[in-house]
Amino acid sequence: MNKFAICLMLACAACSSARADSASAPVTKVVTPAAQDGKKSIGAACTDKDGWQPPTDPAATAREPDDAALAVAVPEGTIDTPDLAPGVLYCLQPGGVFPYGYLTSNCKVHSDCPEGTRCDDMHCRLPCEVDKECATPQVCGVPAGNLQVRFCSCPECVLRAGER
Amino acid sequence: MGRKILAAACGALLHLSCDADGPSDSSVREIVGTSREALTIGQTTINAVAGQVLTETSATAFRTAGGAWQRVNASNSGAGRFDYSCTADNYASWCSHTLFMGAGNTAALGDVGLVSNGGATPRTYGVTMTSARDGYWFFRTTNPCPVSGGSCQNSSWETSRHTVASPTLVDLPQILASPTTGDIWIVSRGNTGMLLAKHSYGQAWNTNLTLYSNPCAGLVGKSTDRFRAAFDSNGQMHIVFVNYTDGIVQYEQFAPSGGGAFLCGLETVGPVNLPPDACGCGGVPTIPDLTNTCVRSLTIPNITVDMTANSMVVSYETNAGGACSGHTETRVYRKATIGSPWSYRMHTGCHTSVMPAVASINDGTSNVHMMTLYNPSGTGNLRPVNWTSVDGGATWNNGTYIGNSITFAGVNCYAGDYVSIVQDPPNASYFFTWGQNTPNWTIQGAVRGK
Repeated sequence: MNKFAICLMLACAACSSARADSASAPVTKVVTPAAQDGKKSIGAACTDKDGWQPPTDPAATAREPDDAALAVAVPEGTIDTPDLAPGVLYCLQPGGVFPYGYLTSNCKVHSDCPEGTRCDDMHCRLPCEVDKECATPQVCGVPAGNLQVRFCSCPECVLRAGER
Repeated sequence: MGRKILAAACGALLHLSCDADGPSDSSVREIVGTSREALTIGQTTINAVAGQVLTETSATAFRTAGGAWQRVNASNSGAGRFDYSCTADNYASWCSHTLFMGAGNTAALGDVGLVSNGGATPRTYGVTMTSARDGYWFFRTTNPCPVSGGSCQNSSWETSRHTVASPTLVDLPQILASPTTGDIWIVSRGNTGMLLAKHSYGQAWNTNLTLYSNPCAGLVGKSTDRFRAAFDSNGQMHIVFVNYTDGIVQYEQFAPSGGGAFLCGLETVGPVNLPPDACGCGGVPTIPDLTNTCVRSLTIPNITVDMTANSMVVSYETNAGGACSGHTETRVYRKATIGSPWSYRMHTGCHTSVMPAVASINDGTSNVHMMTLYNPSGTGNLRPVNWTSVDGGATWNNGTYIGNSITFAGVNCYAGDYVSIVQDPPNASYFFTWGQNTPNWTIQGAVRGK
């Protein structure tokens, strides 16, 4: 069993159930290691150095000196952030709608998320109600996803990308 | 805005110019690729307007009602212009044309698309954004590349303007033809994210497009953009796009039959991280590793469907992580059948590799081709590279350089947003187009190979 398969097993050991949930359902506390030791928690600014890191692919660690345009095959079982189990923190890197990055974990239902945070169908979010809760240029967005969660982001930041 | 046309198509003033002195700038070069490839290149250029950097490119192969084949590639070389080159003699010679959209000739902005359909009256269709970015210029012809006595002739296009969204919200229209109905579809961003527009086969010209906007509840409140689509052999549309809010490339299907319906079983293709803005490009990500740090990097996913197996391949660029941090990579994902999950198959390593264009094209050896612009070691430039697969995208061969270095010297944030690859059926081959600045900014086209 290669290390990618092992990583897959560990990360998916606590894969979320597929049970239905709703915005009004009680929130069950999920304590993450980060929340316990006072480090960054859901919604915090972050960089690609924060949270879960992808396994190093030895085939992709160097810029080939001979200019060969290598097609690097990806091993079966390789996991990435969408595959991580609830509770595993990682960073939505700075840029796009999150100019400062956004620390999060995966979820399908609110109970997959730490206390005080909500699930927008896919990610745990720190809820907001008004814009002043958000660091400029972010705003408190419209209710998002099936679970209708409001959280800080900057939709205008990506609209600018289409300007010429 | 639902399915209501916001404003009717209106008439347009179309001006057209054509080189008066016969077939235009063309050259033939040879590039020896891998051991199984020897590319003979009949190449064309579309010269940029002075001071203007060419950006997007598009291409199509067109079979006229008489059975003759033409190949067309296009770009915008200035506001109001739709520039294209074409060959009607299997790359032996080229004609260059320019369409000017609208009164004052400043009404078209950019983002070009070309596609051709068949049927009793086959046509080539084109699309480009309006300058207000509230809709499209949509145009068509039955003969994009008339030639008589060896000389290029003026071509004749029908054109229409369609307002489909509020100003500034339309972006990146892609045009495609249904293989089962011949309908022409435009996929773009609209008021609330994804917007599809249909011109039915046989429908009267200059009448309203039928609009479909995405009603999927899972996307409400999410920022989505960069929509790209492909049809399968049954006429179902498969769409990929960037979901910025969730940091992923996402996939969904659209069923065009009947009233048309989005099938909201949203699927994650893979994660995407935007490169940082390295030079104050208004927050727009820029391409790493270049001498010019100000060339923007638009993460535009691409999708292609193998019509024999209905397997799919998606490629996109993303900021690489881990040991490759600081570079971008192009990733390739595959869906073996319509019902199977996405599988991460290949990436392009620690070299910055951007603007992938992928297409299912059987050239007798390979059946999927992907073109990217790739950063060779020790250079601050990009070079076009062709990547191939012989098994529908399950495994990939190393890439082959197919063009000269692009230096991006002295250009602004908007150089080269996307490239194009298209099938060349009569040659059982393909051709590429991309923007290149050697010696001047041009669209290089018709690199074909087997």
